[in-house]
Amino acid sequence: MFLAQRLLQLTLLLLWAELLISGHLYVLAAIAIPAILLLSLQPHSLVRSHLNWITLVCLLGWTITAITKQENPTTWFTSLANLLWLMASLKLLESVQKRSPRSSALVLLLSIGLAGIFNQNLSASLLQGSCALLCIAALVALEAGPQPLASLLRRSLMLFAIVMPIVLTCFLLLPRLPALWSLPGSRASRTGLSEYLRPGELASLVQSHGMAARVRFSGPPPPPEQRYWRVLVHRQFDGYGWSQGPSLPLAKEQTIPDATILQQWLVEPSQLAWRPWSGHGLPNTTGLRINSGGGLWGGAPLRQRGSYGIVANAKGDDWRKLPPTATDLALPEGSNPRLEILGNSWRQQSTNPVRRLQLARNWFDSQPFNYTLDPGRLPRQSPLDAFLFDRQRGFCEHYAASFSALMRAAGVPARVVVGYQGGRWQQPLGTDTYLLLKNSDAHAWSEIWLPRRGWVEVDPTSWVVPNRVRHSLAASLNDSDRRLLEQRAPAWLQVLTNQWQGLDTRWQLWVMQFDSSAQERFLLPLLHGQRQWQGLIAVAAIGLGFTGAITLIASINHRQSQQDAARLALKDCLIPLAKLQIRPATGETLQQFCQRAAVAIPEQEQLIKCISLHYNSYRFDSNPSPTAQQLRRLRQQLRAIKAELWYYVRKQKDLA
Amino acid sequence: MTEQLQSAIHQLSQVLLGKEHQIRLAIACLLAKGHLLLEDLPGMGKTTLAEAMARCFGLHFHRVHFTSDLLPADLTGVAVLDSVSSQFQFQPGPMFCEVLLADEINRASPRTQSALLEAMANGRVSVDGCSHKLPHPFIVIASQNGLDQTGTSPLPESQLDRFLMRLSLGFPDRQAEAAMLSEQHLPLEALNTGLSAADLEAAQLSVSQQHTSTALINYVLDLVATSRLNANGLSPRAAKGLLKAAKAWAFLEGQSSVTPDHIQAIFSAVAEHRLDGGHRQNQPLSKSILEQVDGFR
Repeated sequence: MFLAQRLLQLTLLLLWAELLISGHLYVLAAIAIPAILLLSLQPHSLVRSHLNWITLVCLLGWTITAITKQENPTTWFTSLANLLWLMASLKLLESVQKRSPRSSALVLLLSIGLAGIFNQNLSASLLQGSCALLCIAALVALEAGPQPLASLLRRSLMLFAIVMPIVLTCFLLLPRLPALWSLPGSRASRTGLSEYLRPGELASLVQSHGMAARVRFSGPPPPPEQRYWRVLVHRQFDGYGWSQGPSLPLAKEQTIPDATILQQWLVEPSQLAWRPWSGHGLPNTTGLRINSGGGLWGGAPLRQRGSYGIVANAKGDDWRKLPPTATDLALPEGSNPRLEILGNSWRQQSTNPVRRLQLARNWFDSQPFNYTLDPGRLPRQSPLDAFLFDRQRGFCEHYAASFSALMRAAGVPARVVVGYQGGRWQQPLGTDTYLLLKNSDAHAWSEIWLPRRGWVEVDPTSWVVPNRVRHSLAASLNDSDRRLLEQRAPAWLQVLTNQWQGLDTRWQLWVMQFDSSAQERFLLPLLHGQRQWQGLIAVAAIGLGFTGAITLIASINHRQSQQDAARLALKDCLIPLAKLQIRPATGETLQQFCQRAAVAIPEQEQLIKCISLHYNSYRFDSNPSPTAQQLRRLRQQLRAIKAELWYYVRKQKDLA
Repeated sequence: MTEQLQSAIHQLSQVLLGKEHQIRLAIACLLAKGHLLLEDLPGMGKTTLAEAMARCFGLHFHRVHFTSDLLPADLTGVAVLDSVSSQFQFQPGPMFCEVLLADEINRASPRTQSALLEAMANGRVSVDGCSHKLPHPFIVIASQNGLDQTGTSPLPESQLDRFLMRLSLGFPDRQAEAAMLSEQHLPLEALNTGLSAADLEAAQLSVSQQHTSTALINYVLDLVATSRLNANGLSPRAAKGLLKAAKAWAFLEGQSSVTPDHIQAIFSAVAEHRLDGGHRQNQPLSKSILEQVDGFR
């Protein structure tokens, strides 16, 4: 009982710790963890005596929050989950001295399952697995009585192993239900690219080290100069910042015949509906479409990690040939007058867009531009003028934005592309190498329309600091800026982190992203295309798994119960004596105990002595070993004695 | 048979007043075919008990007083030249008897003590490369003084392990001592139980045929395992001895089944000298082991 409580408390602590780490309910978790620790050390504290009131306050708080936020139905699920976590904790606190920690163990198991929906990375999954293990161990402790911790955990592991075939069958064979799996997320909005590009935005974004995406290549990876991963295409310029503008038509979703996957992407959650890609090839996942601006559209913000592949296909480059529209040339008049004058001068010098591009490059080369993470704020009025002609200190978005605006002024259609550039090459042991893109790899560049060549990528940042593209961001910064980017973690920790992320990638791609299409890819070759067998095989396998598991558990229980049925019957029979505070001491034999009990209750001496007589004769007299019939008789005898003892105990209580 | 044994115990306790429990244990040791070690201060009745045990079953016994200059040959016997046949003839020593009363065994040198080892374990003696079988039954009842007495050398642990039980008699209570002083006890020579060596053998056979259940064996195994957590664990021979002694105790009680109570009754006598290695502890080690192991089986 005591051990079970401790195990459940440990489970609860781990669960809260996970919520704390993952950023869910962090305020509540920060309160709950010390509270649970305190309560487990001091069972008779003030909190427990006022638990009813605390529960009431929590419920009221939840109700108010739920009602005030009811306009957003997706938060309902999250708030219900929160309520469950809260109630599981309160239930455990309440049941420390009372009878049924069993129900709190079950509620905790449910909470662990819920936590699994919100957090799916490898470390969270491992934590949830160990939580479930502890919970089961607590249940075993409740059912089978006190045992050493190691044997409890062993039994819990054994139960896990027994149900593993069923779990595997369900995982591999059961059809995926999309509606159930795409539960609304509750992630707080993360830092990442945003839909509106204002000057200075990326400079602050690259200072956060959050992960953005991971990409594996089937062939050789592209050289550093070509590692541009586009996400957002900004076409509308309002004189200050860039936005996407009127939405562009989407290409039809295409069924891709079997083709080699060029890139396999694993993308972290973000609030954007756009996914990173290289701009070449076609996505092989349903629901992903390319728009005419060259953006990969996923339909909705990514609430959980998503994965998709890009396959080689000539049609993937179609968007580059789509001619520009008026938006691609629009420049708010008078917003940046000096910029317009410069652009106009290029327009008058040449009619050839390529020549105009050359003029722009020459101009950028001639100016003493400074590449920095700390460009300072640009004025609201004519910001690009201030950057180009006065300050000349900026980050990539400053260069991309002003270059695109200059090209528009020079009569060349241009737009700004925001995405990632470069990335770190990760080589974890035992798994494939992959490219890790972090927020610090965020980048902005330009695209201009050249007749006959279509949309061409131009990165003005690379004119100013060639190292940015060829090496890394850090290589292109001066010392004070580099300090802003510096990682504080020591080298060995970074190596470990790399390994862990590699494992995590595997876990995501193989387990968490095993959706209906992955299932189909896995199953169809096995079934030789006969899909109708899937259901039958699933049902048969699950049935077989259940039967096997139950048989296994039953046989183990049978083996143990054969030995211990008599012990259990004896234990049961002694309960009335325990009510009178007569309990066996360790080392005491049954006969000694019965003699002691008979001295304590002289009225029942004969009856009590019968216990040891019957039991000992069953246990030690039967030659060679007791039969089932003898066991039945012993049970009857002990039950009869117990009934009489109960009667006596009740009478004593009534008299008292 | 049990009644006869009970009456024998009754008579024996007339000889040795106020020591019925020790007498029972000693008889149980004999029934379990074990050797007995009596340890106490001089003058507590060790030798009397030993002799009484031998007389009780009408066994042929020799009494040897162990001294520091006693040699192995003094016990086993030697081969002497027969002048008539001009051949060496083995002259059996005092060891060739049914009960060997080894008085003050720890006064002898370790060499002599170890001469007993083979005899106690295998019931035979090897002299000059020849093996001589000892009579059956062969029981050693040894007595020894406490180790703090001068001129003693402790029995090695291998020797101790061959004694099934170690008993100490302790001071008699006032009443028993008063009866003794007023000569109310039965003289040793007057002891007549009517039991014979054949009776002893029959009883030993019945004892060895007592049924022991798996639950009981598990209890013994648990006790032994718990003892092994400390320095001097109980040997497998000790485990066997525990079971044999418990069977004998149950037989003496007239019960057909052996229960943990019987194990507990003989546990300290069988286990203590193996646990403390001959050095008595203030707190009996066997007691703490019994308290650690679940007695409900």
